[in-house]
Formats: sequence, C-alpha cells, structure tokens
Amino acid sequence: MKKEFINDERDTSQRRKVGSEAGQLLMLGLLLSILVQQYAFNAPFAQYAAEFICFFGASLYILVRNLALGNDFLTRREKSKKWLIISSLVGGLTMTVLMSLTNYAQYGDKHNFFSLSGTIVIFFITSTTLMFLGFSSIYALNKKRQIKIAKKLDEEENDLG
Amino acid sequence: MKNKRMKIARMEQDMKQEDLAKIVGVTRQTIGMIESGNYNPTLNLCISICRALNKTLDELFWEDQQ
Repeated sequence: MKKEFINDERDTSQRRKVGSEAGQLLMLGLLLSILVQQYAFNAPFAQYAAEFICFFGASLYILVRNLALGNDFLTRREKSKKWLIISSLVGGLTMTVLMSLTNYAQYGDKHNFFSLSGTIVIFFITSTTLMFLGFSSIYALNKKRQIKIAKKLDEEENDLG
Repeated sequence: MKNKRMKIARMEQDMKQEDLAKIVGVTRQTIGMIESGNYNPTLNLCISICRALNKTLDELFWEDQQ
C-alpha cells in the first residue's frame, strides 16, 4: 500500500508556538533593555539604538502585516470604542510616567509642587490625545482593509459557481 | 479545493457567511476561506460548523478518493 505523507499538524503547531513565544520573549527583552539603559543607566541613545530599531522595526512589521491581512488584531469584535479609550488611557499613563521621570531627573531642582503637577497634567493630556489619535488611525486603517476583504467575500458569496 | 457542500448547506439554512461566523464564533473571513478552499479548519471548527448547519461531518467535509 502506498504510504501517504500528511503534515503533522500537532508538530507544526507546537513548533510555531515555540517560535512565537521566543519572539515575544525577545521583544520583551529588547523593551526592558531600552528602558533600563535609558532610565537606569542614563545612557546616550547611540548605546541602545540597535535595540530601539529592532524593537520598533519588529512592532511596525507586526502592525503592517496584520493590517495587510485584515486581522481584527486591535479590538475583540464589538468592543472597539471601549478598547480605544482604555488603550489610549493606559498608553497615555505609561508615557506620562516615563516622560515625568525623565523631566524630573533633568529639571527636578527647578520644579516646585505646582509646576511639577502642571507638567504631569500637560504630559498626560498630550500623550493620551496622541495615543488616541494613533490608535484611532490604526483602527480606521484596519477597518478599511476589513471592509475591502468583506467586499471580496461578498462577491465570492454571491458567485454560485 | 472549494467546499461547495458547505456553501449549499449554509444557503439552505438561509444564512450568510457573517451569520454562520457569529454562530460558530469565528470571523467571516475564516468561513469565506473554508468555502473557497483556502483554509483547512480544525476538527473542532468542522464540528461547530456541522452543528450550526445541522449536518454531519461526512455530509460537509468527507471527500471520496477516486
């Protein structure tokens, strides 16, 4: 009897999972490396430029590939508005903490309570707004691509052949 | 290879791809790709589709080898 070769899906899926986990760990390591060098060691940008480029390059690749494939990678179905607001707030808060730490490290001696509070509030408003605009743009692009795919699927669905 | 039997079964139930996708809990793109033969669903997904369309696995997914 002729032996039929089939793809061992369990094996393939586990190999992909291991690869994906390694990728995620690498991204986390790069991010930690950037943050530690920037904030703990106060290193110049040139020292962590390679990690910076790798991390943001990989992030951009993930974003562009998912957008091109039309994957619903930003939101989970109908909770898009809630997701946009929460992500913007979390992103804005993270940026505020990082920018405030940098600002305090550089100009801490010139700040009093009111100027520091004012700076933090301005940082929070600008970073949250920027995050919201960024996420909204990505969300709009994602939706646009999904509508294009849906049109193609409509054509195929109506094609009875 | 296109899965015309699944498409016909879905149309018999008067369902759109979007309706079936919602019942099964996947995206419409996934249903479209299964029907056009561009994606091999897992056994779990096949079973969910069969349950949603009141069909057996044989009726939708079995292919006789010639």
